[in-house]
Amino acid sequence: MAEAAFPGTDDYSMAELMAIVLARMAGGGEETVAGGGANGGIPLAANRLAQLTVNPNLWLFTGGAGVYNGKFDTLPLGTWDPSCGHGAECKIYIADVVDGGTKGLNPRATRIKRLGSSGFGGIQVDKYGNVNMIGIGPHPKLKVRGPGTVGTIWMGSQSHNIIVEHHNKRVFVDKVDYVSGAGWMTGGNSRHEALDGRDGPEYVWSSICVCDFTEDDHRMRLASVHPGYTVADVVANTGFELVIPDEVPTTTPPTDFELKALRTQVDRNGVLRKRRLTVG
Amino acid sequence: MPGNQQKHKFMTPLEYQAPADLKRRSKLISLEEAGKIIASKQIVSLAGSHSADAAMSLIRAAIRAGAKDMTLIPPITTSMAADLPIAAGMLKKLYLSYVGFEIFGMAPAFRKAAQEGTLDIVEADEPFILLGTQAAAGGKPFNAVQYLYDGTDHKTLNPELKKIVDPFTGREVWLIPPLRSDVFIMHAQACDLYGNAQCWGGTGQERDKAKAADIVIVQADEIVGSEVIQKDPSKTTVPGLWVDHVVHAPFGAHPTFSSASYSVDDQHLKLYIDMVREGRAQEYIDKYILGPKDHFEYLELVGGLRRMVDLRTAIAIRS
Repeated sequence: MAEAAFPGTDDYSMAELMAIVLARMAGGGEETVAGGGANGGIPLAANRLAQLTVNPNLWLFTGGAGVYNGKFDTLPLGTWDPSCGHGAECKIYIADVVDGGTKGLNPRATRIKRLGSSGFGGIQVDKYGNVNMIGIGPHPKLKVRGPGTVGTIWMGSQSHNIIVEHHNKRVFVDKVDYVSGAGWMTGGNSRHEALDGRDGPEYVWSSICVCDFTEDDHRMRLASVHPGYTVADVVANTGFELVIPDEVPTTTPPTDFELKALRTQVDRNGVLRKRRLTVG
Repeated sequence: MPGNQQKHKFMTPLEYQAPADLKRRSKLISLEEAGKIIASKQIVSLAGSHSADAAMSLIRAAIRAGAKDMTLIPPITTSMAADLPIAAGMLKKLYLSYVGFEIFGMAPAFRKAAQEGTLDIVEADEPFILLGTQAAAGGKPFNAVQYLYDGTDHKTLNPELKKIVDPFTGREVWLIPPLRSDVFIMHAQACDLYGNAQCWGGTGQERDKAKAADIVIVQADEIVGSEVIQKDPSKTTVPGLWVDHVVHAPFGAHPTFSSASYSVDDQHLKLYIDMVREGRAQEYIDKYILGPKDHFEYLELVGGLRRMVDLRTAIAIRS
């Protein structure tokens, strides 16, 4: 694995690996909804890849472009890129997204109870999976002003995963300065008590590892480390004490089938191949 | 390792997860199956407008399947789509906004049931139905409306209206409860196998009704290929992912209009109204609803393809 994969090499990039790992989560014939984000090329590619290879019943949601089931084969800039609309089947309105979210079903669309591999990011993520898009420092004169919280509130209406493209101690902090998306809150039962029994995030997808959460305390726990990195690399670049199991497997690397499908059917322009994610 | 049961799904490569058949699942079911689903529920909601775009073939199928004692959340205006279910004993409770046959007069079965007290009628109205549906569509605890009901008797006649002090203004406002349904049934002119439904007219009540329902069933005049839908996705009224079942029912809105498609069958509407007024409702139901084996036999009974083509031509001449 390389930070970015250049033509003429056998490398795959971190971004490609992340997209493939996410696509694997969307397998099965169940009718699900999955999309990406404003800067969400990775989940967008993942879900298009999953739709083509393992789940034809997945509804590909691109909220910023306002459509479902675009049939692109070159990767749009993000879910807001109107090229997501090529071959789309219906419009979707943000009012529908908000209705779904306030209803506590799927924030991405009303009435579907299952969510595919999407995720939220943030400028900070803490050990309970809370996400901060507000900023760092005392409010309102923040030292770092975040972009605003958009739809991160929907993390409270259903279990949503977290995607972090740059793994370092500034992002992975012990406690977020502000919560804009509720993870497992302060651990234990705190989320279930505050949010009507709703489960928190299941996974955290990063450029060098995958984490899940412990069953009782809901603390972030290392689940696998991507090829080329070690548990020590993860620990050294995480700003809090991760729960480390006795055995941590290496993430199954992309297979030839997966890379070929991604590069020829989803990302023909090589956006993810060239995209540079970072560690430290 | 690949192919083995992994603790985490993300460890198993895609080629080991690929289903044997990568075909997208069709939502098409028979009208009879749809009728049984509706009949097994308690609260049904409808779209359409006056004598247009009513999900008549689904209503007939529900009556054939023995639907009884249901609650109806109608569109804000409707005619036969509420009157026929009342005539057939399908309804116990009706949220009333407007039930009537406009130029053809009052709704006979509705009127009779109301006078005989055999139907529980909630004195609702246009905002009550719309805003209540909107609330249910978004999981909101209620919807609010300013002073309007202070000027009418709804406030005493409709116990489901409540009053509260608006914390923003300090004024009292009226609250409308969420109106969810177990099943929403709708008519569309075109739909694909995956539930992307296109209405060529209508009043736009379909989307919120769909969002406020547990199950959505679409009856479509035509089942079209995905490429028809993809030609103009902005024409898709209800996204397929909200739809559970699709039924192919050509001329399924008969005897009401199907927008931009075929005309209201005024002769048949008059026949229905006359028979119910003469106390022959059961005779109508026996002959036109329970008699025909299926939708195609019904179409034959009401004039067959010749009559249907006339209704199509009629709308072309009018426009």
